[in-house]
Amino acid sequence: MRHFIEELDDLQKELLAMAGLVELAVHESVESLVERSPSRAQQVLVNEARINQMEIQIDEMATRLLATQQPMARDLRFLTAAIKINNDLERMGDLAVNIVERALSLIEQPPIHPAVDIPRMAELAERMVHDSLDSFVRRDAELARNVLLSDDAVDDLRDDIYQELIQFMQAEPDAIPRAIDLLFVARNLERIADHATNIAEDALFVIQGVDVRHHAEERR
Amino acid sequence: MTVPGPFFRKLLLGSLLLILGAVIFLDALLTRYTAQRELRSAEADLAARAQILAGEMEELAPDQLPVWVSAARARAGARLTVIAPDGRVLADSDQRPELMENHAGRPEVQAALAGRTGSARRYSETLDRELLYWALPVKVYRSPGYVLRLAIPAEHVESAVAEVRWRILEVSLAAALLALAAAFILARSLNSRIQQLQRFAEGLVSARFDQELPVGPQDEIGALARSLNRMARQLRDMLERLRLEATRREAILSSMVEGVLAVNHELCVVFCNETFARAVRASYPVPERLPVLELVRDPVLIEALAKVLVENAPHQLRVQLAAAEGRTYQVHVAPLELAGGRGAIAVLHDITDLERLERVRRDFVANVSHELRTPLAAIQGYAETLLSGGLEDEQNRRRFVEIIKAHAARLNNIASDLLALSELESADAGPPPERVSVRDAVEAAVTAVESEAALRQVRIHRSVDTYLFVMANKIRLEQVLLNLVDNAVKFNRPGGEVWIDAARSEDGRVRISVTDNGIGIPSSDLPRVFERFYRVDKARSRAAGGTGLGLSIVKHAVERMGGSVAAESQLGKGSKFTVTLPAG
Repeated sequence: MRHFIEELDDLQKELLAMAGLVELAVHESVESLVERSPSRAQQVLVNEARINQMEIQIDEMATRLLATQQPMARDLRFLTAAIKINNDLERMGDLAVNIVERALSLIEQPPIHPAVDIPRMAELAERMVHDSLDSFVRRDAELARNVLLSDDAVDDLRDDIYQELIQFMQAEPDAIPRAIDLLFVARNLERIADHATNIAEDALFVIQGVDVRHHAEERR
Repeated sequence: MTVPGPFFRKLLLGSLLLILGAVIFLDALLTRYTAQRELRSAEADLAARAQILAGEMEELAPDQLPVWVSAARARAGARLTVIAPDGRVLADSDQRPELMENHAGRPEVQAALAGRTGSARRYSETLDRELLYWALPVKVYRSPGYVLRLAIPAEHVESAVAEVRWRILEVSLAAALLALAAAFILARSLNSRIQQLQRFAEGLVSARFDQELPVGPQDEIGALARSLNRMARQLRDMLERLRLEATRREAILSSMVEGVLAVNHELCVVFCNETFARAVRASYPVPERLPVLELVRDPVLIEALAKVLVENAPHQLRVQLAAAEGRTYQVHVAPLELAGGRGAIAVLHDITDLERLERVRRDFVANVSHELRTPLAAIQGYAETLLSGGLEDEQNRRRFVEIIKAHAARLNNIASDLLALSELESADAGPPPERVSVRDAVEAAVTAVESEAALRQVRIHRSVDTYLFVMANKIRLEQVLLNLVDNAVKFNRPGGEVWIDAARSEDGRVRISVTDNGIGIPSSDLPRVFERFYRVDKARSRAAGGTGLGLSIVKHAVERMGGSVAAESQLGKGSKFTVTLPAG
């Protein structure tokens, strides 16, 4: 039988490989929208199947280790965090697919130029995803806290975009379907950022054994 | 003084064992020899005395014997016993004969009774001591068959042996002391030399190669010391070579613009250079054997590495790395022979800027053709209309010609902007910079756009110090400001505002900023606004009469004058362009 530590290492590697796929999916989903590229959008849909498959695999690995090894303390925290991060990653993959679906619809229609800064919001969300995973890998509590703090910036940006889009729809009723697509893109990005904060919280839990969930008020 | 070590103990033990062996051997040999010699001389002595006494006895009657025995005792210096042929003791000098048992069984007496001389050494119960006996056949009153026995204490022999033993003991004690001293001195010298060797060897282990070992006497240890010295020198040279090699490799790797990453067959980092670590925002040096996934998660790169590990053939790809803030890399992955098996090495060349330049060039060619074709098509169209009967149409012909004129003017604008740009891009330095009043330049620009601003209901505010000067080319500076203010007015809302501020900054340069609260620029477009023909909103730009070259000209002109230009903007809130120039 293989050593428990090695199995934990393997689990982390699998999780990181999946994280890489999800990061790519999020990035490509936004790129397909910005570049109006259906082929890039298709690629995200293809990768989704792989992400789902990996989720199941990681879930099995983690559950089996939990059941057979009865881990303690830090290892136990790592395993429970891995299960949750796995779940968050899979959700992010789904959200990226949602964005791609909106992008495919927007590509079909003539471009609109409302004052919406989707790329900036996407950049922020992607950065949060990346940093939350880095904080987990490097056990970097500082970085994890930064991710928690930048969630507010994403929320503010989403509020701005909502306002702008509502004004835009009032001014140009023709563009309402397209504006709604953009609205959903913004909402999906915001939810991706929320999952990133979940991962950052799990990273903090692994590092310090502190549960930081539901203490949003103290963070501010 | 050094503590005697095991070496000393062994040496000492060895010599002591040797001495002990010699003593036992000598003792056995010498005591036996001495005892025999003493015995022989005592026997000879007894035999001589016995012969004399035997002569005297021939004349004696048996009843005279006890008296004779007592008298002869002193002369003989020995105990005297006369024994009858039947073994009965007739007389004894030291004991009353009737108390003594029959002596016929004693070995010396038996020998004498048989006609020979006999001797024996035995413990006498009669006298309670070890005695040496000597017996011979004698005649008493001329009749044979009697035995005379002499006895002397064996102490004589014993003491001689004891003396020899004592001598041996003295000598061997002295030898042991000498051996102790010799072993101590020898062990100490050996010990200190061996300890030197040991310290030296330990120094080598902890990589201290600058030490020199004293060789000492020309013996085996000396030879060993010489070899060790030679080894240390060779190790030093080898290490120096290796260190130099490592430094050289490190220098090459760290001075490389390309990121380098090498992994083993388990996809763990074998090494990576600083460029790579910096690109993926990892701390350098990266810990060895770190799974590469903990450094970069980008599946495209990971899969390329895995593929090279499997196929053992080089591979090339283009990848945008999330770990490196979305920069684009041309990556060459090649197999690598490692000590522990197969590996892969990736060299990452950052082509983000290259790609951007390439896109700019492509866009420029497409844009120039497009920008030229639009007015040319209009001119051609209206000219054809005029020729095919439009000239006779008195109502419209003037309007047609005016349209042709407007498009020709537009072509002219584009041509002169392109010319200005190519002039700015050419190697020709142009007129030398002179001292230019910022206020004058700003006034000239504002005057030129005043009517346009009034038309669009945009207010222009300016706060420029009268005595602010820059080193610049007056015409170019005016054109830069005109372009910036013109944009600020045109891409604005009715009732919008434009602020022009100029001031000397802390670093001694002059900063001129043109700020508006107009429509702003999306962040994704902001890096590209200085590109030729790049338009954020194409329709709006053209409607505003722009050539798409204005900001490009601004950038080149400012850089030509030794300055720089920067743009900030927030979509829907406005933009700010800042020109920094050397002060005059």
